[in-house]
Amino acid sequence: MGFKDRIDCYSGSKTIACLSVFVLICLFVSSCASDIANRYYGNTRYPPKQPNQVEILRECPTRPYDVIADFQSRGETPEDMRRKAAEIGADAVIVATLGGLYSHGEEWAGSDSLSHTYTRITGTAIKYRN
Amino acid sequence: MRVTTLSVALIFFVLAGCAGTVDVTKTVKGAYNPTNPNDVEILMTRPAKPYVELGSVTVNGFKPGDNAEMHNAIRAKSAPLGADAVILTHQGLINNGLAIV
Repeated sequence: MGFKDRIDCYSGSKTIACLSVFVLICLFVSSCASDIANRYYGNTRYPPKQPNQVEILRECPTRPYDVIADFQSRGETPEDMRRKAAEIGADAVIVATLGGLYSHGEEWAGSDSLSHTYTRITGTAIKYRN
Repeated sequence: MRVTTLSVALIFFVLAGCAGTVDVTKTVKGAYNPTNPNDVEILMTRPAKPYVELGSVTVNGFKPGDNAEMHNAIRAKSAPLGADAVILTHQGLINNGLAIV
């Protein structure tokens, strides 16, 4: 193998290595949270809590409460919403997973076989009134 | 009756796969209880009665003739946000990323 062949081989390996790193970076970035948009209401600040002290709700509670913040993002989970709510001292977070895939085979509006998919997650952090 | 409205941008892909994609962005403060997808109304005009706008919906991946199926997709994916109705505001075709509206 001549010098030029070795250079070409080295250059080809380097290209493949660079492409591999690029693909890995793309995979890493695509799995991270994105389009994060949070809102905090009011001026009162509460001490942080442990995440396990914060309830995850799928519906609004029946007892009176105040909304203290809204979280919204892509690529996150209900646990991420709970962690954010704990950081601002919320009692509970009302989570909704929004959007996602919808199968072309569906015939009924009330039936969504791909309801486990979602493109965005929202969390409404609340404090119960005493 | 509370009437809730979502602005909708409807985009048809010329070539649809086995599933369409619905993207919902919340704009309202706070949370609403999920509604029954079967009861979510699809509107072409703004209702006369007062309403609260909850967010926006974008749909793609449906064939141009599959309007009714796409409406069901909108119903199914808007109900978790607590929508009573969705107002369709835009619709068109996308071919290779080029919008033909």
